[in-house]
Amino acid sequence: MTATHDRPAERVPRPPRAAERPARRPLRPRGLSGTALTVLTWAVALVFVSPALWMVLTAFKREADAYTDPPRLLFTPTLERFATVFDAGILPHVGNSLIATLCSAALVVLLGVPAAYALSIAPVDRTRDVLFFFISTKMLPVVAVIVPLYVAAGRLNVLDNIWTLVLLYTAMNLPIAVWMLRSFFLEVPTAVIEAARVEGASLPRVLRSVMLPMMAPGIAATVLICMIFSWNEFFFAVNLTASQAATVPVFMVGFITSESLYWAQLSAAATVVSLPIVVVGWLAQRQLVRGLSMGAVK
Amino acid sequence: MTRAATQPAGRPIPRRDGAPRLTRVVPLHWMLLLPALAVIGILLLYPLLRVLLLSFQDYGLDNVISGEPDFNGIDNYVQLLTDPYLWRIALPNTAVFAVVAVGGTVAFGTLVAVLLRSLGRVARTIVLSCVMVAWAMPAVSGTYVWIWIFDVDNGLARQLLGAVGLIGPEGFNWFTERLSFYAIVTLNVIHHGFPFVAVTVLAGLLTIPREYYEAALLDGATAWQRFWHVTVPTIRPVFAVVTILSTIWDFKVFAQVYLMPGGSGTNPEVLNFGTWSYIRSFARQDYGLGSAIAVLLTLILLAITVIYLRSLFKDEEFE
Repeated sequence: MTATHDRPAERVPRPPRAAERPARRPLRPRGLSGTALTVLTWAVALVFVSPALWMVLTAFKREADAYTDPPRLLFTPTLERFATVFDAGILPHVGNSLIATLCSAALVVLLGVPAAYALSIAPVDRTRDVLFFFISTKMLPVVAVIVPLYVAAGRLNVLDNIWTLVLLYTAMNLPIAVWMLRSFFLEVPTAVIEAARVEGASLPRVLRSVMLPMMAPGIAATVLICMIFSWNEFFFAVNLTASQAATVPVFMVGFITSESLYWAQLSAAATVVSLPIVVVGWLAQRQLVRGLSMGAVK
Repeated sequence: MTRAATQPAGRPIPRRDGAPRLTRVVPLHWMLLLPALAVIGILLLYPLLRVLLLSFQDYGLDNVISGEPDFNGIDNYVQLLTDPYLWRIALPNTAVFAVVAVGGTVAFGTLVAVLLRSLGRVARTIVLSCVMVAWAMPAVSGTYVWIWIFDVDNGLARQLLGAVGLIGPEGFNWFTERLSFYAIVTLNVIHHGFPFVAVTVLAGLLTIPREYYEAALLDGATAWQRFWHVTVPTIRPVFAVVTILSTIWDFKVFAQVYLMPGGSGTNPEVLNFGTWSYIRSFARQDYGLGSAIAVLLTLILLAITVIYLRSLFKDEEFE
């Protein structure tokens, strides 16, 4: 109860938050069913991380070691496969992916925060319409818009241009970002805003120095989700870029078709492609959960 | 936090701004919204309108060159809806797959979320790390890993199943049969999609006051009962959101099918709406029919989402 209303007022780095770790004890399921559930889910969690483990493991093998039956867990690790991947020129594409991911995330925040704020103070009926508009654009299959986009990009001479992808990823991520950010705005207690207004702070000022700091975990979570989507995006990238602006997923597909069935090499490429975003996601997991539970994703 | 429990998400809004403030805010509110709406409108809605127009045309390579449209009314739609391929292959491959994948993703994600909540700090960090790895791994990388695991000659699946005698030495080609093809796509999509559900549901679970569970425990509720009678009703909006989003994603699945052997058109048995439309447009240069397929998919998704949102908002009003 108290957690919500106290939290925004205190700006201590990590205020004790009832919601954060409720696992003090009694909630752990007890007895046989509890144990069974735990064992089962551990097993399944292992199953789900194993493709990534298998990929990384294979990336360090020689091609010959990759095909042994039974699969070999002990082998002499080698970095040759990675060398091949870098020799094939992956670095410029990593740069492209970084530009597309970071710039579109920045644009999403820049456009999404004001929009979400507006929606959080608007009358409910209209909010519903606009929110529906936002989410309905998520229903467009990218396949549906690619033909006109391709033609338009060709006319504007922006094919194979990384900034085209930046704009498209911004549009692609905005709906979900606005939806999430709005729920975070709704969590900011009215009393805090009123107090700041009474003190004579202007609306932009309130937004900047009162609301945004309180929403920081939520914004961080939103940015992380957008970054994951942009980094992994394949369809726009494969259709609208060629050698210049290709992002890492596109590079990887090209790399594979030209190298065909070298699985160890392929695993090395997949590892390089996945690594940056996996590290970011891994580092930010705590913020992600904290941010999402802040708005409870309404 | 507790608002999730006592709810209606939308309702406190009008109260926040009393009548006098609202009048001052409304123009500003549109100004704040406009840039975001403009970006989406130009980049997503304009192309959609163009596709809608295309779907009423017989648009082939000659039209691309001449730039002249050939309107043919609803011919594309007639051709599409009377094509047994739609009903026998493409629609089941899209819809049945989506139902199974969404169910699997939400169920498994929730299971992991419940586990994460019950774990201690260290264990939670470990499992959450595994979950984040599965999520962040790009769909393209993930798809290739799955293809390799099910590789006919050297795949891990073949070695494991061969070792226990389920597959003979001749191996088994998983990619030619529609059912086994989609079984792999389902695994891949659940693997890629469950982390979002797990993290979001976990975030929701953390907002449920402990008192609810303690009360339920006092009443002697089993873990199963506690889940269905405390957890689910309290964070139903969270489930609604993850279900809607998973549905949208799984209906639109593209890379996970297209990159699989046969998924780029060589095996017509395994195409779904997304890949079918793409192949029609780009490989066969039949942009009109390809567009009609895309429009049909959009309409299906719109209908599903409207139904979802209706029930979601209706429940909020009655609470």
